[in-house]
Amino acid sequence: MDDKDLVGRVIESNDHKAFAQLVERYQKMVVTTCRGFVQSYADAEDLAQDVFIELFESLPGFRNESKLSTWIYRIAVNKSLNFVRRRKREVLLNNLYFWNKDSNSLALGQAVSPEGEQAMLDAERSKQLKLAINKLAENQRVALILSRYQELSYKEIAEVMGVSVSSVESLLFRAKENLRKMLLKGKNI
Amino acid sequence: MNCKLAQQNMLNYLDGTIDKSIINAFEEHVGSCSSCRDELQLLKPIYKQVEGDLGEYAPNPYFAAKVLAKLTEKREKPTTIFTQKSYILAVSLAAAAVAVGLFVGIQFVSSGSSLAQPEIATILANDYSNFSDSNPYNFEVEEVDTSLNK
Repeated sequence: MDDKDLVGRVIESNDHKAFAQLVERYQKMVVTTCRGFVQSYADAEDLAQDVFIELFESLPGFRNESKLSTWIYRIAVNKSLNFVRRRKREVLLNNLYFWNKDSNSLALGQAVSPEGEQAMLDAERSKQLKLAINKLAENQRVALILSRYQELSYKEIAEVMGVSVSSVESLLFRAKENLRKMLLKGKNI
Repeated sequence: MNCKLAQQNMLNYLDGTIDKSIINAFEEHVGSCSSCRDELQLLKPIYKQVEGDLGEYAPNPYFAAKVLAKLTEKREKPTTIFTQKSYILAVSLAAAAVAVGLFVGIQFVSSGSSLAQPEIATILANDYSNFSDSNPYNFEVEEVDTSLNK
């Protein structure tokens, strides 16, 4: 059954089974898009649940003028941006209270296996990348995440963001230039 | 290719979106320029971590069930008469109505009426009782013989 039929069943007869099929079909796309904005898959899955609930509620307004995936991407991007804004405010407030507390340091002499060491290195790199991406201007960040985490074409990104293809090119150029500078900041080359 | 152009294309090279017409020039430049080579080596493991992050994902088989449960829970909630938000709104509106009532009342008593304070009190007292001799403002003043002072 294609998207159009499933959407029709959800709207006309509130068919939860049809909606569950849509969720399964787009689950990976939504979770990995959200993962581009947040630090963990746990947060990304929580966010993705909210994305699908909003999708269910907004389906009666879907007119089949754009692809369903474009509609879902838009919801996922908006939800993710709101989540990051809220999280930033919370971190700011926490930092005001616990500004001198360092929770990331390992205890001295703690043994780490080679696999554990690699996993820690990957986690550190992932965190570094995510911090840099989150410092980009919102529109640059969205364009970069849709390009890098979803491998969408310029045209598809333009449809999701509601801008022209040339704007997407310009946003991605600036996003990568700013990201490169941020990742190299503090490194002596 | 100069360093500036090579730097502008570094992330494109790493994610495979570099223009094919300049890929050879880019690789030649990086091969001969130690500064750009070092920069590329530093960026590669961090920028490539996106693939690592995406590779980690294992779809949760219970995800759709969780979404449906959350949806059902959300649809059942609004059946209560007062949600927290509407309760706060109702209390706020009631408080505002009381405040407005007090304000209007005070305005009316202090300056809104053309009658002076004693007159209002008299009217109120008369309304309370029809006995004219009980009216506190309706007493006769004794005439004072001022001839003794002369």
